[in-house]
Amino acid sequence: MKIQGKFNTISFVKTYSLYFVLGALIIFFSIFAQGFLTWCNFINILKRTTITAILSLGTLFVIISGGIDISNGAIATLSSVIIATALLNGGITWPILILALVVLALLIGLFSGSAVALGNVPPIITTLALASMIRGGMMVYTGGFTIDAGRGVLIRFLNRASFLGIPNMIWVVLIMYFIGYVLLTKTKFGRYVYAIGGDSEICEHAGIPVKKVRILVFIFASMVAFVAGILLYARLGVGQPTALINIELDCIAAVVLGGASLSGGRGSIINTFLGVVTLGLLINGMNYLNVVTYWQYVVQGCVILFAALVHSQRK
Amino acid sequence: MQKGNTQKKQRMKYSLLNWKESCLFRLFRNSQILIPLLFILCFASFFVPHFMVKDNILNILRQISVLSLISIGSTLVIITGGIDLSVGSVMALVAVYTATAVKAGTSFWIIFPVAILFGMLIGMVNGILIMNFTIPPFIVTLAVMTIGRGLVLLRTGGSNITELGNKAFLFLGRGFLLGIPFPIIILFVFYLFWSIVLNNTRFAREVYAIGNNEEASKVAGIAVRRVILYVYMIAGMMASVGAVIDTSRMNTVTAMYGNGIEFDCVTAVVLGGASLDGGSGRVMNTLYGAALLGIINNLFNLLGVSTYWGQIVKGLILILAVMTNTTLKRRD
Repeated sequence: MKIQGKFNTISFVKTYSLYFVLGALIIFFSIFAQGFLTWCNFINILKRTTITAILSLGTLFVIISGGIDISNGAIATLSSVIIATALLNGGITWPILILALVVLALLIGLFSGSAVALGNVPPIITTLALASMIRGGMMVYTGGFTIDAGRGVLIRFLNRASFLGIPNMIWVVLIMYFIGYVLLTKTKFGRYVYAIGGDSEICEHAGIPVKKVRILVFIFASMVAFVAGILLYARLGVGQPTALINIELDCIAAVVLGGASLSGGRGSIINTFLGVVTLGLLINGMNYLNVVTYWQYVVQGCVILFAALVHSQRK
Repeated sequence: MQKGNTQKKQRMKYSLLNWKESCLFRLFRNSQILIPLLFILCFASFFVPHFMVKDNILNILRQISVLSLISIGSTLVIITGGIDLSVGSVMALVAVYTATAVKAGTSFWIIFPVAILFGMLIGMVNGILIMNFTIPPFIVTLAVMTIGRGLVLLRTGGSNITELGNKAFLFLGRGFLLGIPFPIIILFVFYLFWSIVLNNTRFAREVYAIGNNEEASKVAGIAVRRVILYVYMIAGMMASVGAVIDTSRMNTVTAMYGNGIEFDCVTAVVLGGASLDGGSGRVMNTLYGAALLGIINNLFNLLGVSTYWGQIVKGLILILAVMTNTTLKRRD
């Protein structure tokens, strides 16, 4: 229970923990890592984290609605592989390709959403199974090989070009976050997402179409993952079926760092973005300090635990 | 209405040769998984050559013994309403320890207890984080899974540990006792132990009670924290037993060993009819579930289909199994 007008140290630390962590990291790395505190490196960090940032947006929606999504890495990879295949085979015009991607995203989101909302399968199981199925399907289709369709317009536009000194990839992230922000805070859908994460039973009594909202959330997450897949293709330049393994952990860590509650009902767009940046900054700084890459796993796990610990609530 | 029902039940109870009271019916009722299992067994032995051959059956049994051992631990965790995603990393950590120790020439009688303690220790970390810090089980075990995998990669540098070359140790996973593969015997011993524990002890009743209603259990005076701590420790222990046997069977440890096995574990438990909401689940049914998965894997091998198809099929099976379990539970 929140008491107005009275200063509470614990809740203060909890609310602003992300900013403390971010500030501490920036100060630490600025002192110990040469060349860390530069505009160039800042843009570099943002560019490195574009895919995580976009995927986290989907994860945020799912987590606010009280679920969890660990299939978005697989879905994004699927999207990149499909784009690579389509470009390699040729004969497909852009509108048809985009339409096909949208329809596929819709179907995948519909599948996981209805398994969760109508089939009563826990989200973690649904998305775990979905990820396994998609990865398996991609491996069957590609045989584990990467698909190289050459360096086309898409790659040149997204990976090389920049607008107002900021790479286009980052613009995509900003646009996506803007859309997410509007959806979550300015629409009825957004309020419903918060509401069903808070207490779905009460929502049902209040006449909110809980099942429909839940399915829509998964469709949104799947759409977002497809957008991330386009960026992934632009970044790698090929369709690689084994890309983005374990990225869902990054996303969950970022969202939870951003103050979202894993039991649903709480979370914010801007803090999620800051969470992504914090994680990216951590990895970037560790690279500057020449830490062995495998430590990243350990750090990632510890960050998830730390974030969950800070925001854990006693019942 | 109520009265009529009880009368009907009474009548049924006393009539001889009643199908609904026969032990076969009860067997199928308690283990619905047996129906698809038997169906697949019949199908495979009719249509797939080399399936019902002694060597192949022994092979399947040896392959499923490790999954079954770990799944016993996962069953307990799922009965309490939790989930353990860290088993794969626990296995990898224990396997790396075991392989290093065997190579260093340590006696098996030291390796095995230490490995078990190691697994229990990680389980304890899981349990403490879940109960004392009130973090959801899947987040804790997801984080421990990542950290564990990172430690394994750091320790091995991403490469494999091969050629352990200790005959006595290799017997554990490859040997035969009275014509039966040794892992099967270990599985049988552990199964016997856990099914006796789960059917007779107070601990087991507390585990089921917590799964059914944690709050009520707390009010009823069950030491919820301690029971859940034990459950995760048991899961860690069973994972390490499986890892030691697997290390011996494969004579190799890869850096990505055990990756994704938590998926098979959950599938086996859920196929056995356990609900992920907690409160239900049986060790024997989990073993049937593991057997079904093993047979499906084996069929894919025999038919020469890519194992990645197996991944797709297993994903579908998992979702369908959970859906049927929840709908059946709701109907009850």
